[in-house]
Amino acid sequence: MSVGNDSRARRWFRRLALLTALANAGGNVFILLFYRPILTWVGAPLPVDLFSFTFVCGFSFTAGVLAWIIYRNPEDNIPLVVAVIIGKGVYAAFTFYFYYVGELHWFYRVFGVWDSVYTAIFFLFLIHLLSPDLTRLNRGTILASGDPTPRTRKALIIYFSMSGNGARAVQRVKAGLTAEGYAVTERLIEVEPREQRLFKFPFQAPLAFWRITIRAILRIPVKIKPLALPANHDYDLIVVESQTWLVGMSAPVEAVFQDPANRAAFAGRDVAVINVCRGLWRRPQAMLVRWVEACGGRVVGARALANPGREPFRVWSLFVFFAEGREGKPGFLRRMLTPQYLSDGSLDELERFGRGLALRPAAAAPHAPRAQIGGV
Amino acid sequence: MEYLHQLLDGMTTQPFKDILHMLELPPGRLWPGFSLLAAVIIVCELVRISLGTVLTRSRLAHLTVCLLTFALQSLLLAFVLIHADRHHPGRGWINLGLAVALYVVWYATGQFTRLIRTDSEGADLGFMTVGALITFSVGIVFAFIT
Repeated sequence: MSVGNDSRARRWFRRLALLTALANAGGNVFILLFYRPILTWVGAPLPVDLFSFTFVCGFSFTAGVLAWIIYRNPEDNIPLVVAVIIGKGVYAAFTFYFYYVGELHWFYRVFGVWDSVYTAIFFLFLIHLLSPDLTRLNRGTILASGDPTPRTRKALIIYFSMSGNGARAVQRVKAGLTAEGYAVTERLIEVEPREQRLFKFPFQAPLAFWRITIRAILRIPVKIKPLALPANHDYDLIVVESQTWLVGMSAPVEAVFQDPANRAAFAGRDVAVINVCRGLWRRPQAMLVRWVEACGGRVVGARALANPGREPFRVWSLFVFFAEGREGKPGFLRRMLTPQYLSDGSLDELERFGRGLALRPAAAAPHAPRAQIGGV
Repeated sequence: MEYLHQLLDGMTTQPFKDILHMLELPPGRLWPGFSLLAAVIIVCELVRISLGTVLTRSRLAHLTVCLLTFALQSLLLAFVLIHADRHHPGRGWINLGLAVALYVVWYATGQFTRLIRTDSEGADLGFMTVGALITFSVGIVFAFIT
């Protein structure tokens, strides 16, 4: 399924938004005008508190208007999608509560069911609409260069790897770039000596796994040795690799972007990102891409690759790998444990990715001079 | 101070009591409790997936995504199993069956998002099993005790 403006899913979501726009906006005007006969026909009691009844109708009418605005231009009205989700969700929750305590006529229950269904529909619409640029990158598209300066055919790969999985991935991207005539420099991110022991694998520091996990959840930064990458470097491509730590990018890679001294090195440059993980790659990839963009870089390609194996064996194999410090141990579990390194197929894909990056189209038209970096 | 006392004394707590009562999964009224839990599970999964690519620099958003990966849902269901067993002893195994059904709802919700977005990760069955370990170990212990 495509995610462009013409996608089938988008058409369906828009139709559903239009339906609830008409039902909410039109239906509530109708109910306000004809509530006496309608409630009599369905056997519902007439409202005791007319103000509250009118208020609810007005609230629901407003939700209909919001749905109409969303129908007209979904991409530019994402905050309204969130507002409608909250509005309909709250209405559905209150309806459910009063149904539970037994104070609700079936006629009003219908609206509660309608809104609960639409809460889910708008949630799905939101998921469909958010970050379409990532979907395009994940389809395998390699974008044209954003840098109008002549190619130097030099690339820099920045990465951090504890277990070696990321390092293997980087080697294959390098192979792809080199095959197409690029000179590639690797820069392994090094953690400052004070914290180095914590980030060594197999784990050496006490409770290292849990400490890294808690730091990843709370996103506690890690200090790294300076990259000392000048803004006027002559690489025409930077590739950044990051592992997934829990559900985010790895702290040492994020530290590259957190250090203001490194940001100018990405400004106006072509950047490609690689995420290597057990299974969760979407948020780490988004974090990495957005950091690059925040530094003024142009993301020309992205790949996210997961270790082979089926869940739930894959996640438990990862925990065993962390505990044992090596793959395939303990021996008696070997048949159940899944590999902790990318498959040959994934590595081949990364090599193709490297070739694709080397052959990326040139900038279509002259661009403005490289962006100046302000506060990020 | 008097106004504060009046305010606190007059606080409406009945809805929260009603919700707690619903979560007892009482024999005669299972459906509302199950529906409520299913709705919470669905919303948690959809929020997790929605937040996946946005607010990438927000610690709060990140913490939310982490909690919604498995911890919040599995702890909620573990709490419900304990709460229900305490109020209606002898129904532990039935409640465990309901918890299994809720895990199916959780998985189905995540996977469904792949239909509307090809690059959605869908449900994370791996971390769900970590959550299941929390929920069901607690649930089974209480089912035996009660």
